[in-house]
Amino acid sequence: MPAHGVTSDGAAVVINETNLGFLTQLAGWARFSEVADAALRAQSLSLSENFRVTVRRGMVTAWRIAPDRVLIRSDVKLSLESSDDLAVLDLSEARVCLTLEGAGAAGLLSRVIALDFSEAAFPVGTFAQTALHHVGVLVDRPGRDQFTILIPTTWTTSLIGLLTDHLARAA
Amino acid sequence: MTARRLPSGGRIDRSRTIRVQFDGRSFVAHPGDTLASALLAGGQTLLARSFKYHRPRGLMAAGVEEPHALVHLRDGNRHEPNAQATMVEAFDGLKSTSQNAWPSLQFDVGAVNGLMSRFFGAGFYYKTFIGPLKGTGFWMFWERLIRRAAGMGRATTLDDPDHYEKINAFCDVLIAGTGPAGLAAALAAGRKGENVILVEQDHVLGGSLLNEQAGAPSDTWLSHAEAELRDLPNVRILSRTTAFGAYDTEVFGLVERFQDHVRAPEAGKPRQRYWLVRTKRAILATGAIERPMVFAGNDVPGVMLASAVRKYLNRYAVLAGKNVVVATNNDSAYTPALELAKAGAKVVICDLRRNIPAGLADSVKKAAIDLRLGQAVLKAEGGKSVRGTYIVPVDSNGRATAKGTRVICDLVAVSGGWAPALHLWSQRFGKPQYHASLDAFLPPAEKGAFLCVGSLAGAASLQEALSQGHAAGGSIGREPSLSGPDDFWGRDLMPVTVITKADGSTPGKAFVDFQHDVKLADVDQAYLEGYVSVEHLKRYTTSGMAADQGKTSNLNALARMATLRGMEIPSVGTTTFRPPYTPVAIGAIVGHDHGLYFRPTRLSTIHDWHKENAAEMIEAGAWLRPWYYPAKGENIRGAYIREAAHVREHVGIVDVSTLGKIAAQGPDTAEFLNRMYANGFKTLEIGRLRYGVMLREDGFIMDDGATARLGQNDYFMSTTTANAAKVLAMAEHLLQTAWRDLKVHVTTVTDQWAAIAIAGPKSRDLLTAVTKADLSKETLPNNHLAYVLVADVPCRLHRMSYSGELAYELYIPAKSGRKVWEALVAAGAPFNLKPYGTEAMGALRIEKGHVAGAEIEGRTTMKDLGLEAFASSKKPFVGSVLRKRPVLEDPKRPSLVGLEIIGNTGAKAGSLLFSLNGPTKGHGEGWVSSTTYSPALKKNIALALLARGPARIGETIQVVDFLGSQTLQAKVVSHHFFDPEGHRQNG
Repeated sequence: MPAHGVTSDGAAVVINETNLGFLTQLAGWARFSEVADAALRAQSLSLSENFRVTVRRGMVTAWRIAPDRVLIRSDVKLSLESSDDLAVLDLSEARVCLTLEGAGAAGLLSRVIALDFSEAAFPVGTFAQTALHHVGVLVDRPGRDQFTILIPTTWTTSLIGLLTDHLARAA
Repeated sequence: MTARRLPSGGRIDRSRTIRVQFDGRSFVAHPGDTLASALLAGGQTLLARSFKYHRPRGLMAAGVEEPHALVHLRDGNRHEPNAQATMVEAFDGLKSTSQNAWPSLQFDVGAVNGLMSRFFGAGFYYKTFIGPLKGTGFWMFWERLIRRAAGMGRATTLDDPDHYEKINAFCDVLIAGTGPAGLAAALAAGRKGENVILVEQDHVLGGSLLNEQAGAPSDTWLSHAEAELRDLPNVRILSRTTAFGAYDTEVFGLVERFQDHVRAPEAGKPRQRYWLVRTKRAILATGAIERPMVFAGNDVPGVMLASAVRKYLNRYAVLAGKNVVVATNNDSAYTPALELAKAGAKVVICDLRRNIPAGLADSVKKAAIDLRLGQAVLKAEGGKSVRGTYIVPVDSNGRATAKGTRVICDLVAVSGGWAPALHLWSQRFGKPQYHASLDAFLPPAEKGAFLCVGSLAGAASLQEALSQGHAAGGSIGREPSLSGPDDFWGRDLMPVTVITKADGSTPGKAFVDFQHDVKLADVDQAYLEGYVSVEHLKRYTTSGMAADQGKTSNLNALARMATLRGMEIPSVGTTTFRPPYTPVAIGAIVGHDHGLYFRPTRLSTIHDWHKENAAEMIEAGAWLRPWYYPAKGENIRGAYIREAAHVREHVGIVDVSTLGKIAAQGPDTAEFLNRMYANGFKTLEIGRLRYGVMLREDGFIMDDGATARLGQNDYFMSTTTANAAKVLAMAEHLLQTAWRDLKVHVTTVTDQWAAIAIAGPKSRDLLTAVTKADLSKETLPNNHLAYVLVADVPCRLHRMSYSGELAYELYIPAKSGRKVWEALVAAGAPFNLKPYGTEAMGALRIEKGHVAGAEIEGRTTMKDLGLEAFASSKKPFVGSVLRKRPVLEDPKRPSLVGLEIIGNTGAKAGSLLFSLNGPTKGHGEGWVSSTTYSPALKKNIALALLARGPARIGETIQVVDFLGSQTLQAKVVSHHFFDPEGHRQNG
């Protein structure tokens, strides 16, 4: 890592494993929106009502992954506490963060994931939870030619291998 | 047949000369040629032998409908069978060979089958080989020979050196076909701003426009249209691509022959691509396929479709014959007839119709063509090429009404009408509608998100095709305007394609399905034997099956059956076309999903250490786990016995990161666990662990594992490796449906934690040395947990045992798994620490009598496995009702016991158990579930489920492995072989 290569269309891609930092899941029940929003506001974030839109403030990113769950990536450990209305779970070790950058990034993903990665269907600032070779992953698009993929840690080697197998490797 | 390349014309690049090979002979070709056109230009008219009778076959068509000219391509590991010569682009160095012929194409021994064709009619092997003798032995003997003789080309068993890839694509409109209608649709949709994918199976766009003479007015429009489309960023053009499948929700399968037109793919380029396209709507402009006519000898090389003859003439500048008989029942064959005459051929037209449009008659007269109305070809004469035809006057049913005349010729160009290429439509929607005036099945112009345009929709002229396409694309921009030949096949067509003698027979073999050697007589025979349904007809005769998918045969077979039954074609019906439209290489569908990436592999974060230390790995579901760590020259038996014995004597570590781990959180988690597990969890204190057994709703055991309480609302469940996903899914399901009252969340944390089991009498000493923590029995008794630091990594230490030894499980933040493992290994030297694998782990748990996947296999209850004491009677739990079914409470049910095998040979798992003196027949009284050599007991032992097991302790029984023909004797004992009082694990 990083792995440099091109897709069969000749578009360049760089695959890199980057430091995830901290990943925290907030989950709750009937009052989740209210409680989670309050917790997020303490981090200068807000709870998105949209399950495709990434909320980003500085080094903190939040993804609403379910009606009653939100996933937060941060560069420092967040001071969040579980309560009877909120379950806080550290998943920092459970995911590896992969970045795909370059003109071929969307093309590479279209070879392994059955999603439309055009800018119209997957605009910058959105994310999707999907399957990459049958493994559940979260794909975020922070830039036009930039994707972030959160992969379950134990599948990482296999999925990186699959991605790089699709590339003609640059020297 | 005396085909030759004309000195000018065509759409080939005459500035370059390339060479292709067929059966070792070299042929000159030009870029733009197909293998078929190159061979035809070189006078090679014999290209193949037929499937069943090994009859000589040449070219019939010039495109995807070609049924005869299947060849081998390339050699070595790129060898490819059954390629249609008409679809293979010629490239320099292309090697091709004939198939289905021995010893040579010219002299094929298999042709003797033709002499015995009387015995090879429809269903001959069912009648001949099934039934004459009792049993299936006779059939099974012949089946091997029949299967060896069947098939056409031979595939290679060498690994394919090329790679293939899959791509997911999305669009607003998918347009299949780039003839005039498809291009007009693409232009309109593209101008509208829609995201368009335009698919063309040829390497150039234009479809039927390319069959016009080079320089035709349509060429200018074609080049402008293509230029405009290529300038539109929202239009993606996929040439060399076939839309082979249409599926629900507007999903299409395409195969792009990306690098098939070169000797070997460029580095990094796939040979083929499989596109999975999801579109909002589809415009099908797939054209129509000309119908052959059915007459004796209609398969002789030199009998071709009239449209194919025209395509070879105009696109490839190949005049397929000098003396041509054109046999038709419609107007469309007149254009090729006139063009052939203009190119210098002597042409005779025999038209079944007694009247034709005056314009056509005038043109024919001016071209000095011999026109014979009301006549048809009764027989084509010749063996390896056409030598002549026998032409007869016919009635309105295609029956000869008088003696005919023999016409010497080297080419017969036939047109029996046209069949719209509605395969994609039919794959999606089923049966199309029959239009009597066109004698053809047509799709509706619009259904669902599908629009059909051009010849597919029965467009009567070039202009109508353009208009339909323009409208389907959204009518944006100026509608294209072009005029073409006035030769629409549907005008005044005479719907007769079968030509027979006055008595209805043919003077020789007349084929309906050329690829499968299905004769008119086979259809007749199927009718006589009662196979009158089109579905039965298809399967009994094989007409329309396999790679060809009935492109040239379907309508003629149906028409014949309709005649035999005295019914109209729509009453007889039609079959439904299935994907793929054309054969697709398995490699294209597989893409990268093979070998290492056939499926994803799951690796513990300690995996690399295991590999670096020579562990033999084993698949456990999706995981790869260390199986054993062999010493030099050691086999698995030696290794696991050594490893297990070492644990009992010293200390060992095993990677158990694969265990399922679930975070259960929320104020009602204790109640949730109480319902999930058979035993009680409400009293579990923070910092304690409890073993639990979980049932399915039907009362059988689903899984087991230990749960730790980490905080007031936080629990950590562990499951078996195999059932992790199943347990999580069941928990999620119940929480979201039946148990909405519980405030609980479950989340998999299998990836969050690496886990290491440390087992053996010195495990406490090792861990104390590493953690500097007080791990004494008093501070950390069994089933308690503690938080410790190992190599500065904060970990959680669970005291619990699977091996029966003093043992611990260390849960480590996953990304530090290897660091902690190495720290333990480094610190373990003074304690003689050794790693052990899953085989030794299995031996240890069998010695202890712990159940695992071999016992919790979906058919066993808590009672069966001696776990009844764990079931709480004070609360309901999943499975608590149905586990009390009488059949599950039957004391005769097989129950868990231990077996001490008598002798030095171990039992095989799966062996059946029988009483010592009883018969060894049937299913026995139980089975062996797990087996091992016990280093602690120094004997072979096993866990087994035996009817009335606990009551038979002390009995000697037989252990029979029917597969290995092994019969052993064993003594029934308690399954707690080792340390049944638990002194070691609790010490």
